[in-house]
Amino acid sequence: MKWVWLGVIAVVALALAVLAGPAGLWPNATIVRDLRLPRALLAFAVGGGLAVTGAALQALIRNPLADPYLLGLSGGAGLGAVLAITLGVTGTWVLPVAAAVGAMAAVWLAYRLAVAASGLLDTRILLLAGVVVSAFATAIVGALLAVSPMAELRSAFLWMLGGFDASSWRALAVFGLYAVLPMLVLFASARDLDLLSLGEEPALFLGAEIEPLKRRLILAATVLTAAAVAVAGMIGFVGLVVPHAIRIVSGHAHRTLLPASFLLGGTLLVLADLIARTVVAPIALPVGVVTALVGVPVFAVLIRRQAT
Amino acid sequence: MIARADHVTFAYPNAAAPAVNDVSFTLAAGSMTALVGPNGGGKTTLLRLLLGRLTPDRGEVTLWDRPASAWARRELARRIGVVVQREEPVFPLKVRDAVALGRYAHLGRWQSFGRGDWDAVDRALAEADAVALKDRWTQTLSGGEWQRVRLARALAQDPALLVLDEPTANLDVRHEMEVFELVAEQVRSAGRAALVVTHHVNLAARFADHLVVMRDGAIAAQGTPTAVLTKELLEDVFDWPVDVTTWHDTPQFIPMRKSP
Repeated sequence: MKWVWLGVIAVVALALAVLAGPAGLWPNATIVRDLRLPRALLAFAVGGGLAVTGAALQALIRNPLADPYLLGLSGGAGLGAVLAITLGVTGTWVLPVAAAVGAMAAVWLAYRLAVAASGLLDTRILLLAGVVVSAFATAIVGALLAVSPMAELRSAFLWMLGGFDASSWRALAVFGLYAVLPMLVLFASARDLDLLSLGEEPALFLGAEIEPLKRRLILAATVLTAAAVAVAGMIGFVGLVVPHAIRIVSGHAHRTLLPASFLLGGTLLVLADLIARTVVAPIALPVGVVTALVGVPVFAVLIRRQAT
Repeated sequence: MIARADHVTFAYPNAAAPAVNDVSFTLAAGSMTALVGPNGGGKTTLLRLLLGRLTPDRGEVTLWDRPASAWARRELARRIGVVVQREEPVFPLKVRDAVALGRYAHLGRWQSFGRGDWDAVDRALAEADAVALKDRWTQTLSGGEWQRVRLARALAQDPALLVLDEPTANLDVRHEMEVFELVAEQVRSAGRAALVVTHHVNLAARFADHLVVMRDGAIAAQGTPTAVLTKELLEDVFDWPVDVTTWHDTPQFIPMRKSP
């Protein structure tokens, strides 16, 4: 029954996003085919991907506050984008590629730091290393912004705030190319994630190969998030809160949690993007602002429901 | 032979002395072995070596005559059920679902729970006297209840060997006795072997067939409780004056006051 509801609201959200615009309902076919449809589908895929990644990382790091950008991704992505512009590289895909590369480099650095101590991956140190690497990258970005007169840097910063203005069928294809495999890896690890939520030692003794598992999960989460950053910048909140909303409604078993998070994350981001581009049109709000404005009240209601 | 440690030595990185030093011992099917000794004596480390969680620097650990490192964790999880010392789930679970985690090693990656799996879960809940808890949330359980649930989870694995690391720490007398009785019953009637790490030497003497006493990373003595628990050995190992008496043919010890 819950699945039916999730499916229905997902379809309704997609239909609304395709039909509705600043000019009202019923746009012409070209707008739908070339702009709205790829935009809605991309928002859905990115929202779903971020929510699934957040759910997986919360179990891996054993921390309810984990979100997809935790492992140094946010700082790294920003630094990648700003560096590319400062170095004067131009082209349509420069910002997305530079941000994705920066994001992955930052996670790689955090990962190296986390295994340096004992050769084994300690997820508590990984968490710290991610925060530290991100802070370092953000500091460099701040320094570059302070000394650089370039107006383009502002646009890089705005781009990082996230949004779907650059959506196209091509962007959707690129995201799909990089996101499908990591997504499958995460879904296939659903039961392992149930075990990891207990702690590494219990998980090991219940049959999880924890060291390769942790590496696989981090790699999948990083590629998926970097792909999301490349096509949509950084959109906060979805990856943190959607998994918790599902946990409250239907528990913590990842075989339910991951697909349900995908549907709800996708739905939420499609609706947020719809609101972002229509509510104060012709001005478009950053979509991350809307996800938080819409998501927080919903989450508050869920927490209240859980308390009663 | 279920498990064999052959001259096993292991030191943690940057440690001055090895945590386990040249230890050899065997674990036979259908018996209960208790691992006792003072804090920091290497008991938990030896356990981790036996379970393939740590790899020895020297020597070899074999499980069912195969090197511990050669086993896939899923295979081992179908044969060994472990209750570790401390475990706190970060997200709450329903008790029955928590016990069901013990069946994961028996399932293929995409395979769903079958009738047999749920039967094993319910049987394990009954054996651990946890049926009444099955719809509770794990975070609402008391220490004793949580311990029984984790025991049930280990039993749901349907293991040939049960390993328990200080299973009765923080439990009151009744719950402590219940855990030991449960493990003894599993050994006696279900034919499982059990390895229990405990500080309760007197209980170990009453329940276990075999005692292994560890101190400073080495085995100070091993054998039947009667052979091992002497005044000389206990005073030496625990570094405290004791008196040993016999109760129903079982040695029991009493630590002395400094001034009687």
